[in-house]
Amino acid sequence: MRTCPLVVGLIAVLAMVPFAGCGVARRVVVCYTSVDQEYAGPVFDAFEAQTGIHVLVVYDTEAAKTTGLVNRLIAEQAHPACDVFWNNETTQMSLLVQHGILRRLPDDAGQGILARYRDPNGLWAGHAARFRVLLVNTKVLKGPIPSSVLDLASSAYPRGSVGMAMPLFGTTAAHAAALYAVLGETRARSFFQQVSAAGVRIVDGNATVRDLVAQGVLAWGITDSDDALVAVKRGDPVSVVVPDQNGMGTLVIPSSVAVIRGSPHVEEADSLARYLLSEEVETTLMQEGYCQLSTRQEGGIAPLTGTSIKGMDLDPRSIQVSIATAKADLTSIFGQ
Amino acid sequence: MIECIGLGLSLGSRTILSNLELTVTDGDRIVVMGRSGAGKTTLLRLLAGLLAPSQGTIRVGGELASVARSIRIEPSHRDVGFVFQAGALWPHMTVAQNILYGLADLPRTEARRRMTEALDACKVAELALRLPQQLSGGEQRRVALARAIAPHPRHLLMDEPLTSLDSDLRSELLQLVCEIAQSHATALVYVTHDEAEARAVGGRQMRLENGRLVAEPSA
Amino acid sequence: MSTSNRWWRLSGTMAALAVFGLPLVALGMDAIRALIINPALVHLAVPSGRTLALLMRSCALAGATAVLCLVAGTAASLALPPASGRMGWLRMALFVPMVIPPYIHALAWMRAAEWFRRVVAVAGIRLPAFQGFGAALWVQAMVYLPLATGVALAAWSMIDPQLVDAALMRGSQDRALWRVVLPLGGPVLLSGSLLVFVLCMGDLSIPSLFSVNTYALELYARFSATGQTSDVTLLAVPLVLVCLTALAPAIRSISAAVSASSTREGVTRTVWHPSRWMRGLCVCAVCLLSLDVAGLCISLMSGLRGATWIAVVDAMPSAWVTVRLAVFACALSMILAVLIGPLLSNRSLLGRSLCALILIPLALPGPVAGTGSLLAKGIVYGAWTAQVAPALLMAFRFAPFACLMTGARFARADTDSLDAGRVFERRRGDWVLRVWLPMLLPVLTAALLLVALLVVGEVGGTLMVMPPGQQPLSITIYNYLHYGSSGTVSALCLALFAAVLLLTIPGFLSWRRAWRSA
Repeated sequence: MRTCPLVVGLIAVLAMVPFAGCGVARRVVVCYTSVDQEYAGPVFDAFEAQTGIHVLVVYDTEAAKTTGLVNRLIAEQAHPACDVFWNNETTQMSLLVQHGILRRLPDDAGQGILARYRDPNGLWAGHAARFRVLLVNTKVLKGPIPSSVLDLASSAYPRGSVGMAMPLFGTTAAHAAALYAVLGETRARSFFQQVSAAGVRIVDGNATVRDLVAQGVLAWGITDSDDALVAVKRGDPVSVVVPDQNGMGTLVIPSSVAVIRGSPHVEEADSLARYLLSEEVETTLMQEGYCQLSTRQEGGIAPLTGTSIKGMDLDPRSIQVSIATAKADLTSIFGQ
Repeated sequence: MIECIGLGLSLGSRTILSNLELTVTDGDRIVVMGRSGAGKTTLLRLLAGLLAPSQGTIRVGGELASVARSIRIEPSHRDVGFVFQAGALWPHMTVAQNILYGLADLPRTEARRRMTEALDACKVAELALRLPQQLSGGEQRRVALARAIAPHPRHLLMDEPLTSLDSDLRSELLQLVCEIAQSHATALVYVTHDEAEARAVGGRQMRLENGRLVAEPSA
Repeated sequence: MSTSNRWWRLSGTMAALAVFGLPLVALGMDAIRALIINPALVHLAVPSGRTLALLMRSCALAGATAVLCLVAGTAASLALPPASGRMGWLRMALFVPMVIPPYIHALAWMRAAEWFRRVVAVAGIRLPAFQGFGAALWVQAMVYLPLATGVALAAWSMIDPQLVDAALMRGSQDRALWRVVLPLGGPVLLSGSLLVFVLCMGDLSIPSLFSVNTYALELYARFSATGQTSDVTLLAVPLVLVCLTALAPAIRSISAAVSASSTREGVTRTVWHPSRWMRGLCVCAVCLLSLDVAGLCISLMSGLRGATWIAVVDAMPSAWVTVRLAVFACALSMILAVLIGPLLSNRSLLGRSLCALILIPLALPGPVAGTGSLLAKGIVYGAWTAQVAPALLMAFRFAPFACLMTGARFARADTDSLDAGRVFERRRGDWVLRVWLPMLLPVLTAALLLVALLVVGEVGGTLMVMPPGQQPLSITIYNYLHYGSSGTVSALCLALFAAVLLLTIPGFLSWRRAWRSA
């Protein structure tokens, strides 16, 4: 007779779950985002408070190596569930454009954003930019303070004391593609071969680079500005170096916003896209420490360093041209 | 009454039973003998409705119970008691619960009365609250017998119920089986490979050979 | 053949095709479509050069992990207190680390290794950095050691104590161990290590943490570069084939072992005990196992510095999502196990075909499984299934364990007892509710516990199908980790640890009670 309650309980559970998501009917918008929940959450809360539109969010995780949301969008394209895609970089947008997943943003979304940070067909716009930095452990570093991304290939540092994330994913892949665009294929390929030969430790993400540098396992590494800021705020014995300020400049990485073609809540999507691309949100994200630069002006002062940042003289869209070559080369160099 | 007409069973290319004819009337006592693998257990399972025949029919109480590849009347509706070879007591139920299981369609008082009656008849009343794994082999067989007779079935099928018991216990249980069959006027189909046991049970002696039942000459 | 069996076969087959077949068909159709457009893509399914080297390295790492787990798990299991004893519940505590995401487990070891390096550096001893193949091997072995130990415990319970006693009549303890105990338990022990092999083959997170490239990296890299699910499906073919080759002989033995495991342990109920030197090895192994558990707890507790307890409370909705997901996945797995398990115990063509069908999801990496579920949802399901898609994915990935364990139980079931239930049934439903299901209860409980543990830690596939606004705890933990809130992560993991411990001890006690009466 013990099985009777079990069966009744089972039926109750099964009956309960389909209605788990049901509640009072209200306006909703679905957003997939790879922006950290710590930063994105308050933005969505503010949007809800302002408009009354409830935001249902799917957050990405670095553990999925960016295979999560972009591929989910591609797989769902026949029946899109997402209304707005808020990415923490721009290179993956080219995949979505190729698959015809995006539609035009509202004309009044992202007013003031410079043309170089927009898709020429109006399918996405960039805002709230971060940049690539070198994070140095001041207690452990033996050797000169690095000042350029090209120092990754330097023999001045012991093998295994320098780290970077796998350059096949995320912003590190974007940075690699940018180097291919700036240095040229041959020189860039040679550089990365030297990086591999120098015994640079390849780890699984920018956050891991940050943590290993902070712990003193690595002397220095290359990561994103928002990751570096976390270590600084934690009080870790680190300093932040913006690379190549006397040379080619560092890679500026705007986040990007796009709306999905055929999504279920068009009006709400447009409303959220306008909000995310507003100057107000960009300022908030800068104050919270997620981003350092605005895409509405050139040569802004980055709060992290208190200096203006020289970015690579490169149209972000040109990174997409070289990314395929870069990834193919890097797969053969680092994917052994 | 159980009537088998042209009963046959094949498993793959192997013919177990072929064109078997058998009639079991109320109060009958039939002993089925045969060597190991002759199909004795299979015959009992066909009669109980646990297997569907390949050919032929089985009628129970005049109604069509089994036809080729189909069971029309489920085992629980054939008014049959079955004593399995190894007892087949349910390990998660006490002795009392094992017996009460087959009396669930009766009012509680009547069910308990029949259970007590069956336990007394098989001389295992004191074991009612024990679990099967706490009983000896002989005790388990008695309980299995009690479970089979408690619902007062019209037909009692016994599949080598005394295997691997010592001779004293075997005689005791045999006597019990015969007494119960007589007192309840239950038709008994008893399967064994032991000739002495078969003679002790008495009634019609039959042998399963080449898939058919052949009457044994009377002693 | 009776009508009820025919209906059962039909229901079980339909259930198997719906849950396991559809995502596989969706993946297959997607890949075939891509091959028709571009036949050259077939090269993705044939590893060569660099990809072959990656596959070999994956096999080497997974194989070495499996061997290490086999030796250490076997030794540890011989030194654990018996389940029937007062300290038997301690066993469950040793297996709870399985619920902590392997990545967190690995990070704990990484921190511990670094701390140790600094400590010995003070004494002037310079140890190499804790990275590379060796480090990845060690950490993977520690992560899967509890699983291997559990399988070893099941192996011992299957041994007939009389066989061991007979060996002791004419030989020493050691002789009995090498000539009787190990050979008798060998097939199940080997099966456990093959299961560890399969779990390691599809894992990217731990090897990448220690800078070891494996074949899984190729899958992720391709996914990231092209976004083409068909490419990843084709790339996954060699991985799946290797895993299936390992799984097929393994799974029957494991299922039989788990379904037969009992508190009346076979070999330890005898007078056999490990000899002195062997006992030393066993004690070392159980110390290692305990060290892993204790180290994980200490690492998490010491990492509580900076924990934002408000963040922990804020994560409670995620915890509720995880609980709901686990409960629904377990319920679905139970239904599948009950429908399909009996069919698997049959050696017919249907039984073997179903067995082959449900083995494939076990070999698929998480994101590929998630993609399959997503594609299937697009083909067949409607919008309503947005809520049930995550549970269907979990069932797709982990219900095969439940089905195989149930099938093995049926294969060993006393058919006479089952038939007696049908003969003596007087009330409709009595046979199912009072005979059939109770006989299944112990193995179902064990199976569902395993499914629940696996569901809690799953990330890769969940990301593909989780409905918007509902985020399970595993993804919340990873997000906090990325943000650098290691304190909050530690707090969440400890909360998870404690919750699972609280759930599994009663589960273990009731399972033990059920087995005592079985």
